[in-house]
Amino acid sequence: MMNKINYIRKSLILLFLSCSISSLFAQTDVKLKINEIKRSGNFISAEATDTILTNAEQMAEALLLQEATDYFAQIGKEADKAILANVTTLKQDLSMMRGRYHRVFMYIAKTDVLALPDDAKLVELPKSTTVVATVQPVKQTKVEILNEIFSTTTFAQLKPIFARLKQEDRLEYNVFRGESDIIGDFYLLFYDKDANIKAFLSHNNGKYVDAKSQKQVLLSSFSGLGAYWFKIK
Amino acid sequence: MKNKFIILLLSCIIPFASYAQSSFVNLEIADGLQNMTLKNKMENNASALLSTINKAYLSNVNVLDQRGLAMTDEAKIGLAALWENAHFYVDDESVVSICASAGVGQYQVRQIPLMIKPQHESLDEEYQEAVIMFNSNGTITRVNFSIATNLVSNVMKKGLSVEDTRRRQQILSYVEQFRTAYNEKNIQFMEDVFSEDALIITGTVVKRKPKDGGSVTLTGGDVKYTKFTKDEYIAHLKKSFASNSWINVVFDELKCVLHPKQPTMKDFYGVTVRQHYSNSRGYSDDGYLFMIWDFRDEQHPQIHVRTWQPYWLDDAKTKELPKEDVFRCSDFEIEL
Repeated sequence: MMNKINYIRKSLILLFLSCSISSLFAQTDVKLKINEIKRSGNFISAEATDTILTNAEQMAEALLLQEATDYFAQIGKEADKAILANVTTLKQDLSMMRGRYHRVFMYIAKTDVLALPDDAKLVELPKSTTVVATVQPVKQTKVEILNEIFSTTTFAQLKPIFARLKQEDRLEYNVFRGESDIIGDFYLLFYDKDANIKAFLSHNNGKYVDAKSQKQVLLSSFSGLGAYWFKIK
Repeated sequence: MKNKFIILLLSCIIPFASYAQSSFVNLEIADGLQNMTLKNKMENNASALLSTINKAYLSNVNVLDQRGLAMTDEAKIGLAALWENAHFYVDDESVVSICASAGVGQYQVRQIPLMIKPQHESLDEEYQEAVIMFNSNGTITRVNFSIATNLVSNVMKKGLSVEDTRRRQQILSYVEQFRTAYNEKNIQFMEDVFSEDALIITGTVVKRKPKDGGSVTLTGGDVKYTKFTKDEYIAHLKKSFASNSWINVVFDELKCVLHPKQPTMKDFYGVTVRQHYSNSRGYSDDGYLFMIWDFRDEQHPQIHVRTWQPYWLDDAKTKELPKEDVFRCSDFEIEL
């Protein structure tokens, strides 16, 4: 009987210790990830610490928006409400405990921020009511659209094409966070922190193929780059 | 069976213990400084300082051994005084931060995470961020408890010109030093920062005894003001510093405005903060602190007016002092 009690007691001690250690290592992982993001220089970030989680979240978000506004000012762009709302939507966060305090770290890729302003403004442009032609333009085929997109090498070249296609309701796109969020086949574009497009991939039946080389590739080859998915309608 | 359990237990405890006992702190500047030589110096000096702090915390020593640290005498004296009142440690082994300018030839690294345990008390650990100031050689010139990042950001973004922005940076540094001076019990800083003819006003809520002879209650709305000279105020501070093992002051709701009389008062700024004060004798208060700072001598800015008003006008904390009643620059006449 005593042996059984001792066994249960020892098991409980080990269980408690293993739980404490797992939690400690999870916290360490978050710290490492936060430092990695700060160190990379590819993100706009902000953090706040408070005993109340919602306070920390609100403060971190306010600081992130301030940082994003400052970043726009640095690159000579003006941050309007629509853009800042997009920053709020696209931001990601990490949180951990410091004693009884909640540390909340929020971040967004600079490339995501760079891609936002002109898109948002162009989409919001009022539609013209003046009829400029009586002949209906020939509708581009999917292949023609893809060729036009694949010929671009920078965001500056791609933005007007995306804006036009969006206006024509021929395009659907968003930030790529994982294939589970997207139904059916799609295309991916990868870009670096200077808004240069590094690759276009097509996704068919769970496989990724480089649009230029037509070779099958692995997503892990593009880690560290920003990504958008898109579909042609 | 018993041996197996001990081995298993140790294998769980050893990594945990080695993690908890680590005293080495590495500070890395991720952005904000192009000069790599200076950046390396600042990183090395700050890492050595933060590691010293953690080692002292773990060893529970009463005096910080600052020998060999690249710090000015003023910075060492300030930090030693801070350590006398509270022991603290850096909560991260690896701190990644950015460097910001803090005026000509001065730099600062903010958001150093500290956990503070007041000495001789059994209070919970308090989270506090520190700011380290450097000169152009990378030597540490001050270690201050910082004001919250969102407050700093709010003050800085209101800068109207390069000159105004630079001044705001300076004001924030002095406000942080002013706040830390309470933790350090640094009477010399207080004597230096108040002008000889400083006007110091403290407000107290008037308590009224109801006519029916019941218990004393606060009716709210009545604040009685008392005027002090600099000497009287410094004497009061000395007494307070001597009779408390620790004093803690936290600022929030920081507002900084250029004096409205322009260009005559172009070097004068009104600074309003909400101050939370507490000390080891159990006293605490919550109020608005308003100061008029004079930056005509940038190296030695002075406070000409310092007022304190209660934030709450009743014990139940339901009635706040109206914002329009908080002192501002236009309430005072300064003869130049």
